[in-house]
Amino acid sequence: MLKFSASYLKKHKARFLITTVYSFLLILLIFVIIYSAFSVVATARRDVEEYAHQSGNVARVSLSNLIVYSESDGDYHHFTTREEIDAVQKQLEKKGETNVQIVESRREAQFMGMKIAPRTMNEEVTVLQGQGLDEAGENSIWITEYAARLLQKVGMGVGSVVMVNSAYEGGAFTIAGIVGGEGEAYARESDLIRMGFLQLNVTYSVQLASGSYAEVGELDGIISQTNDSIETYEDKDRLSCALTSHYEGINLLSGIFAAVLAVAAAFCTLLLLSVLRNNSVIGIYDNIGFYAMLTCMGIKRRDVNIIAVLETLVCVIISAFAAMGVSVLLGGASAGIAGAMLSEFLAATSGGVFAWAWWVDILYIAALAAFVVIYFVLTLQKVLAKRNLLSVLRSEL
Amino acid sequence: MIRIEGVTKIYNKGGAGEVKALDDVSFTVQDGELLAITGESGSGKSTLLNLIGALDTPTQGKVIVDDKDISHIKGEEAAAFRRHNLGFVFQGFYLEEDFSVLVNVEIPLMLQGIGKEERRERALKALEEMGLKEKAEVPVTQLSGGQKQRVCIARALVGGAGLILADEPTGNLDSQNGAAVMQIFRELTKKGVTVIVVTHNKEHAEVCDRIINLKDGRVTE
Repeated sequence: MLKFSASYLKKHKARFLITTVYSFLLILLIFVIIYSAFSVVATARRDVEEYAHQSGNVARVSLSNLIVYSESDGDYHHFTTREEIDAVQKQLEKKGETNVQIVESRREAQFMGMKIAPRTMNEEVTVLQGQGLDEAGENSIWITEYAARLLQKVGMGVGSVVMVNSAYEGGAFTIAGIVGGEGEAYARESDLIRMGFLQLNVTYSVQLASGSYAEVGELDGIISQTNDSIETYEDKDRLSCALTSHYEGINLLSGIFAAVLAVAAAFCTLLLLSVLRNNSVIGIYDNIGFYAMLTCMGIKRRDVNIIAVLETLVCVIISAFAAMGVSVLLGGASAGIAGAMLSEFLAATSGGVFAWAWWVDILYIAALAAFVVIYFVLTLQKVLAKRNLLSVLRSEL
Repeated sequence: MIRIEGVTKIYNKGGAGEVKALDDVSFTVQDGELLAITGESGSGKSTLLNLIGALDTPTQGKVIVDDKDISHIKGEEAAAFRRHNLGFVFQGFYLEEDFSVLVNVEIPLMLQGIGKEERRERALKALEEMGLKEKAEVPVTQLSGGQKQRVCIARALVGGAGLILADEPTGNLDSQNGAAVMQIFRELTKKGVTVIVVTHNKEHAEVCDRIINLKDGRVTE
C-alpha cells in the first residue's frame, strides 16, 4: 500500500502545482488588502505634509512646545500652551508681518530606550538620592528609580557617566541623582539645548509686502537671538521643518477605515478559502469518488483514508511553504512593509508608545503560520468526514 | 459461479432506525453469465452488489463466489479478494482526471505489485481490446463519456478479474454508447467473464441473459 501511495502521490504533480499557485494567490490577496489598508494611513500623513509644504501653511494639529532663548534676560522662554504660541504669532502679525509661520521641531534624546523630554524639576519630581537641580553641574542627568534598578545590574549609579543618544548626536551625561516620578530620565533644558539635543528650529517667515525681512520691535531681542540659533540653509535664514505632532483627527478616520478594510480582508479570505475547499482544483474533495474506487480495486478502507490524508498533507505543506517563501521574497518586504506601516499607524495613534516594529514582523509570520495550520486542519476535517466511503458508493448506486 | 443463499441484510439491527435491505434472497449466477438486477430505488440493489463485491457482509445467509465463502471476510482479506477477483464499473466512472488513460488502467496492477514494464504492457493490451490503445497517453478529461466507460471496463479487466460488477454503467451515456457498452459486456461473457449489471434501463436489461428484479429486498423474477 505504501509503495502504491508513493507512486500515486508522485504522479500528482499537476494537482500540487495548482494548489501551490492558488495558495500563493490567496496569500498575495491577503497581503494586498492589508497593505492597502495601512497605506491609507501613510497616504493621509503624506497628504498633510505635502499640503504643509505647498501652501506655506502649517497644518498644525498639535503644537506642544516653543522654546526661545532671549538674550535680554538670558533665559529660555518656554511657551507650552497653544495660546502662548498664538500670542507670539499675533504680536508679529500686528507689526505688519504676513505669512508668519511658527514651526517648532524638537529633537528628543533617548536614554535606555526612553525619551528624555526637557523637564523642569517641580514638586512632582522628588530627588531621592544624589544632587538636586541647584547643586548639580552642567550636563547632568537625573534617572528614575526604574532606570536606576536596571543600571545597578551593570554596576552603574549616581556619579556614573552615561551616553545619551539622539538621532543627531550623542553626548556624555553624569548621573547626578535618582528621582521619583515617571519612567523617564530628566535633564535640564539648557543642557539638552547646549548639547544640541533640542534644536530651536524656530522659523520665522516674516515677510512684508516688500518681501524683505523685518524686525519686529519689542520682539527684537527674541528674533535677533533666535537668528543666532537658526540654522542657515542655502543662505536663507529660513528652514522648513517636518511636522512632528501626531494627527489626531486624521488618524481616527484612517484607523476606522483600516479596521473596516481588515475585517473585509478577513471575510474575503474566509470566503476564498471556503471556495477553494470545495473546488476540484484542490482535488481532495471531488476525488472522493476515486477514493471509493480505490477501495473497490482492492485497498482496505483504512488505507484509502491514509492515502487521502497523505494527499491532503502533501498538498497543504507544499503550498504553505511556497506561499510563505513568496511572502519572504516579497520584501522581507511583506512583513517589513506591513510591519512598518502598522507600527507607523500605531505610533501615530498611540503617541509613540508602539514605536517599534520587530514584534509586528513576528506577528505577521505567526498569523501566516496560523493560517496554514487552520487551512490544513479544515481540509483534513473535510476529508475525514467522508471516512465511510461505502456511504459514497451507496449514494451512487 | 456465484451463489447467494438465504441472504438477509439488516441495517441498525435492534435500533430505532432498523432497515431490512435484503430479505432472504437466494439465486445463482453461472460463469460467463450476463445478469441484470433491476428494481426501484430502495429495493436493495446496491446492498446486494456490495455483498457480492465484498464491500459489506450479510446479517444472515451466505455469499459464495467461486467456492469461496466471502460472507464474513473483512479488512485485508476482503481487499485482497477484490483485488484479484473483481472489477467494478460505475456510472460516475471515477477515473483519476490528473492521470492519463494508461495510468488509470495501470492502477489495479500497481495495487497488485506488478512491475512497471509488465503493467504498461497489460494496460495497453486491455486498452487495445477496448479499441482505445491510441488514446493511452491522452488525459482522461479529453475523452467522451463512452470512451471513459470503456477505459473503466479496461481498468476492471486488467487485473484478471473473472467477475465484473457494474452499477448503472450506461446511466451517463447516450443510447448509442449505452448499447455499445452492453455489447462489450456481452463479448466479455463469451470469454468466460461473469458480468452483473445493475440497471434501470429496460432495454439494456433485456439484452442480458437473465433479469432479477428486487422489490422491498425480495426477489421477484
